[in-house]
Amino acid sequence: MRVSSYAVARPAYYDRNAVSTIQSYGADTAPHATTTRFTTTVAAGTKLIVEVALAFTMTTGVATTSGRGFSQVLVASGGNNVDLSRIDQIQLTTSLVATQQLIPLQLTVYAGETVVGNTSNGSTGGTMFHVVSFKGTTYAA
Amino acid sequence: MLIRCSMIGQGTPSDPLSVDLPTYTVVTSDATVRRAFVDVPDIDVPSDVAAFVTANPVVDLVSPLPNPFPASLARSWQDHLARRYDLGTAKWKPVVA
Repeated sequence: MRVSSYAVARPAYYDRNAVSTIQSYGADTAPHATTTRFTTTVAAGTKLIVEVALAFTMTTGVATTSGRGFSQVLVASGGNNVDLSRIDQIQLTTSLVATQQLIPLQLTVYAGETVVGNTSNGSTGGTMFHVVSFKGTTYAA
Repeated sequence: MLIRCSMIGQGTPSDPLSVDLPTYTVVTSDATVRRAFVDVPDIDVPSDVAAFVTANPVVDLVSPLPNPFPASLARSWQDHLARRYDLGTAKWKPVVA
């Protein structure tokens, strides 16, 4: 009788029940306090690879008093945060000035950690268009 | 599932206004009344909470709920999320508002 053993490599992450995970928020808004627009928390038994994150701001209505606004995508883990993509902008006296940060990534997010999209606009009057989004792949850990 | 929830937080960069859920997307929100319509994955909403939301429709951010959200359903939702995310404790405490 011949006895053999086979060392079978574990499939790559994208072959382990992988599904796309996409979150996106975009809106033309008046000045507002810092607000979380989306969260994605990684459930037990899974991991998430974030592949791209986008933060975008554009002044669409001139402010009475300019203030700082931002769009931000971050990962929160155990009370600590790290920015994946962030754009800060003073709401300008000229409309339609846009800033954008599109970051390609291969960042693993573990169970219990959260991807968060925030926006803020500290001006008085006027409007700002904010976009925060990311795309990743969730797979069996 | 689209649900109108209460918001928590101070609206600062370190403590943003947010909905106390693990996974959601804001459709629209109002910092003054501290409510938001959020899109929540169906798998994160227990059937009893889903039934309450369906039975108590709201069309804007300011009108009161037809009936108050029962504490028993709030607890049910917390326990469901703790199980789903396998945390063992009810970390999130969302409230239909």
